[in-house]
Amino acid sequence: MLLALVLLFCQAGLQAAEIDVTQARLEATDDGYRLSASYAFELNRSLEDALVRGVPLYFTTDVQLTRRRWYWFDEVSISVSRTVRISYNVLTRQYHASTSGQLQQSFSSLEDAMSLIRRPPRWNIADKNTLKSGDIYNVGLRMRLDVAQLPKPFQINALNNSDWRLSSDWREFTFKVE
Amino acid sequence: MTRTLRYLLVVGGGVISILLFLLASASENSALFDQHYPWLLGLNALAAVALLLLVILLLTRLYKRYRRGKFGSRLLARLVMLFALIGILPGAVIYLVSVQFVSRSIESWFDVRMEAALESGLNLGRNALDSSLTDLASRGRTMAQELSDMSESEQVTYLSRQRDQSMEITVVNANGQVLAAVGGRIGVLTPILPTSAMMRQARLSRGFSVVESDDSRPLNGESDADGNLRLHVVIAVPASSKAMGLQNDNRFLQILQPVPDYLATNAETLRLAYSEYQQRSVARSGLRKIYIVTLTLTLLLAIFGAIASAFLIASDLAKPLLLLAEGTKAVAEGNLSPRPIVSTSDELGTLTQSFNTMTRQLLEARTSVEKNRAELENAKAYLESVLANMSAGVMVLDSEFCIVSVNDSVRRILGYDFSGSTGTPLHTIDGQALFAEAVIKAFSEQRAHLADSAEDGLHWQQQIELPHRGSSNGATTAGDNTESSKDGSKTILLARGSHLPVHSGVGYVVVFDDISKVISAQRSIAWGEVARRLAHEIKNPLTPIQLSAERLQMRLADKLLPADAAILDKSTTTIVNQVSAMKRMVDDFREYAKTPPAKPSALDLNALTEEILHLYLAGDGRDTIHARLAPDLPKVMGDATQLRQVIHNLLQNAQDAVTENGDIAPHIDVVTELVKYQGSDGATRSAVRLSITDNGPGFSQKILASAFEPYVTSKPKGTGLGLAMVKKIVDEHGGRIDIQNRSDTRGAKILILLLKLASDA
Repeated sequence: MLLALVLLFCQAGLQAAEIDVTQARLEATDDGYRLSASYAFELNRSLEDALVRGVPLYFTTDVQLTRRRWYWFDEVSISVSRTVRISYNVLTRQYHASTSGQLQQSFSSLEDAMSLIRRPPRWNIADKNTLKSGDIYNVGLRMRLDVAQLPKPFQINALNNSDWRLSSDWREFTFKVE
Repeated sequence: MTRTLRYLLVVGGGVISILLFLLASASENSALFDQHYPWLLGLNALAAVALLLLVILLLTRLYKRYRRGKFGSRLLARLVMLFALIGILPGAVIYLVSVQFVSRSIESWFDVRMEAALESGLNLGRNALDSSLTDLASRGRTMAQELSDMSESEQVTYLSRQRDQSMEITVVNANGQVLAAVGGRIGVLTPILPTSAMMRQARLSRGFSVVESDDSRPLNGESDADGNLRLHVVIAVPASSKAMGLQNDNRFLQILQPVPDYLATNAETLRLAYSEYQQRSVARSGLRKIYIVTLTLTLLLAIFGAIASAFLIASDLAKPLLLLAEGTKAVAEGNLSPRPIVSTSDELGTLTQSFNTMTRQLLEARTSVEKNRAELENAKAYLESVLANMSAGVMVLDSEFCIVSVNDSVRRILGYDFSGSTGTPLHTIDGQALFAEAVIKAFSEQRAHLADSAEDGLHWQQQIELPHRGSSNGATTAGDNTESSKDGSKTILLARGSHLPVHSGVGYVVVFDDISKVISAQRSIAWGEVARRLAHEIKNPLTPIQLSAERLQMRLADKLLPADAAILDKSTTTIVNQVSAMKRMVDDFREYAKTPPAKPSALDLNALTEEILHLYLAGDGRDTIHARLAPDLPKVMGDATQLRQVIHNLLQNAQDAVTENGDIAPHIDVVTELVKYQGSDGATRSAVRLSITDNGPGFSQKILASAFEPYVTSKPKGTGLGLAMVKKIVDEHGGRIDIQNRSDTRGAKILILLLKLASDA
């Protein structure tokens, strides 16, 4: 039994990628650096069921910009994440999506709500002067279902139920600051 | 179990308790545990694994000891098993019951009727909202119908009239420009406007109507706006029938009305309950997993903890027992040193203490036994040494007359070494047949005597004569031996025998002594008596015989013929001579028998010797006698007359001996010397020794054995009384006399030791 528990923890790290990053681009604008990305995935039945029954789901996008250093570990220049919460109101039969720190939006269908996650608006991840111009950065991007924000029983479920493990691999690309 | 392990276990127990407590309290809802629940679970699992490793380590150690048969491991194993069982069994039972209980009870929460009721409630709420929405929509349509023909100024007036208290009515054109607005919130810069999607839907169908949450009006202070509901209706205003212009074609009427508070609150409560229920319903497998995992972890921790504690308790409990067992083993091996005491006040402590008391008593008992044995051995050794140094021979025989033990004197007396003959019958031993026969006969006679008369005869006493076996120095030849036995020279033993309980059977002990010398002394006394009487009896008639012979000659010498006279003369002369010779002999005898008692006085032996030697040297021109006199000789107690006779006799004998020498130059040594010896009380004493040595033929063996007996002589004309006299006088002076043949060359040596010195008296 102990062994099974230990194996579960290992499995959690070895989950397969269910979310594809279809597009990922970093743009330098006057305001700062904007991330434009899109993802392709479907909610499986368990998640959809849970959502319809009123369990809010959290999708977290992690972005990490690192700069290679020959003498030490890579320097982490920027490490930000943003979480989108999707919930369903059974009374009004509306879907709500809210990004942390922003107003919530209502949608009458799940697809509309999910489109906010699949094709999120551009996200200003850093100010203009955060990055050194001329340097080449390694950008890592990942989107995942944030299990840690769920109630405990779902966390336990996630330990041994692959339906509850939704994540993309780290999408890596380089970005040269002009 | 080592001390560090013990402390480790205590600390680990504390940590595990805290972890378990956290895990248990995490079942409640709290944000912190929600975040770190997997970590908590992992830590607990890690603790369980660590405990499992510890238990495995302990078990393998115990198993190895058990296999090796290490002392005490069996007891430890049994105790551990017992305690572990006591820990595990109730834990397992509680675990099983709890798991069953949890699974069943969680399932029982989710009831079909409950779900249906919630569903119905939700539907009711929805219906209520829908109906009010429909009302609002139809009212809106009426308003829109009436609005279509109104001018803008009329519109505002109309709207104001139509408006309820909380209603917010807006008329916008297709571009989102507000044409007229009534109600609404004061201070809000951006009024809520219909989106293009809403307008599109409103134009296509009979209108757009929706119940939405109102995030502009906080309720009950909650930031989440889900609780505030409002009705949102957008209706296209129909084109004016009066054809007032194109600009009026695309007008929309928007009505916003908050749902009444009572309805909104109840609906929200219902919604929350429903959501909660549904969430739990979805999550129940996870919930069950939480409970089971928590219970399982608790069980594992408890079991491993129980086993580890079992080791602690068992080793604690077994320690005094093992100490005692080791002590017992040590005692069995003879080690009686005290054991370390277990310092507990319970029975085990008392047990070890009394065990130590017991070993101490045992030690004392053993010591005293050792002491007794040593004393016994000493006594035995003492007895044995007394026996060994006894001059009398002691021989112990068993009922079959086999030798059990003999002492040293037996060998000297019987002339046979019995050291290798233990266990052999006495009569089979070479040369002892005669002795054996006499002994056996004596015992059987005694037994016969005992059977005959009832009197209590414990021992017998008997003289046993054995043929002389020669002296122990081995100088005697076979010829001498046969000669002496032919002459009847015998060893006379005085033996006493008595019964003795030897081992289990009957035994005999024979004590005997060589009494040849006693017999010889007795014989010499008897000789003296005989001589005295004979001398008296013989001497009486001698004088008349001599007188008669002389008278015969005197009277008859003249009356006879010359020839007869000559015969008479010759005969009487013979008689007279013989009589005087006999008289002299009788005198000698009488003198021997009737030596006057010595009158000892301080005497210089050197002076006496010189005086006597003077006589001899004067008449001797051949330089025969050599004197060597010690200068500082102490005076001895002695009778001068008697000692003078002794020296005279000895010198005479020596002179007689050397005259037979023939070719060899005669030589006599007279030596006096001071002898130091150790007395029986340990003090050093002095004695004077006089020795006279000649180089004559020496004594024959026969003479040597009985030289001091009267009438024993080697001289043709001797009476045999000379040495007997000497012996008698020396004995009276308390001295010792010893005669021997010289070992280096031919000749005899006579030693006289005078022990009484003038200074002692």
